Amino acid sequence: MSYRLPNSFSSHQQVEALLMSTQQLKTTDYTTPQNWPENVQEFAQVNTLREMTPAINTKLVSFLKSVLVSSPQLSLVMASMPTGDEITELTGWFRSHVHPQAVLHIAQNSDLIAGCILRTDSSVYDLSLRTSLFDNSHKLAERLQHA
Amino acid sequence: MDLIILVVGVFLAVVAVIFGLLILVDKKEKPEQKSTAELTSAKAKQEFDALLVKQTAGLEKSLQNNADKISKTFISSLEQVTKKQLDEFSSATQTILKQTVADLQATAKENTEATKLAHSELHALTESAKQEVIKKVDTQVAEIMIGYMADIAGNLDYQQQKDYLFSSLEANKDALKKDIEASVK
Repeated sequence: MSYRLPNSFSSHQQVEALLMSTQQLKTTDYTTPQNWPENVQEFAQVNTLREMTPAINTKLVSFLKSVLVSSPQLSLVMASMPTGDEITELTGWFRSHVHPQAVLHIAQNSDLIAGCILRTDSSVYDLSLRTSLFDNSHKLAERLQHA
Repeated sequence: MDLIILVVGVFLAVVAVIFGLLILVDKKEKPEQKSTAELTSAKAKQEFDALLVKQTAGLEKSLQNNADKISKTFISSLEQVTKKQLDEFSSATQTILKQTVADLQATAKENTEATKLAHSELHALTESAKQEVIKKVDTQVAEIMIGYMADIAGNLDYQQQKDYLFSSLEANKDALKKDIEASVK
């Protein structure tokens, strides 16, 4: 059985924190989800886990470790820094359309005006409004010439 | 001895007589003739003079003929040589003229082609420079406009740019997915 990462866990650090929380979960608390750490509760909610068992815990730890090792890491430079919910929304889009376990690292550069620059292990995608304006500056020139 | 003398004397007398008779006869026939010696000398002189005159005339005539011939020959030769030289000069001059005209035509053609090439290169350079200037102006105008837009837009927050952001991501999602799948493998 494969688990689904909650979209609120967008970064590598958040997945690491979840792994640590899962490993440190007391066996006495296995049957009381309300005593679980917040991140474990959120993960359990998304994956409809009502209780923890040693087997489930082991499986979960294994899953999280594999995510940390093999999940695709995407770096986004955005014109403005999104809020937590906005990051969740973004993460949801990437996990729906690109990879279910994609993790994001987000930075800000206001020169982009809008949009983002997206980096993967092998490519860079410049989706910024600034670059788009420069790429289409010939249209501006044509308008100026015909004005 | 006496006899011999007698005979000889007789002989001589006879000879003298004959001779005298001859003289007499001669005098009778040419009563104005001079003496034989004088006659001979004058005649010889006369004949010599006549011969001299004749010879002189002949020589003069011969000389004149020869002079005419020589003159004609000389003039003819001179004319031939002159004509030949003139012909050669004319031929050489024409050859030089033809070569000069050909060289001038070739130079003119080269100049024309060089001029055409120069015009073409100048036109290409001008066009290239013009395009460079236009590109520069366009870039500078674009930079000014984009800078202006950046100043006016300020920091667009997430919600304000969300539509643009997601439309860009949607447009590239297939390429992104392939990229990620390839790197995960």
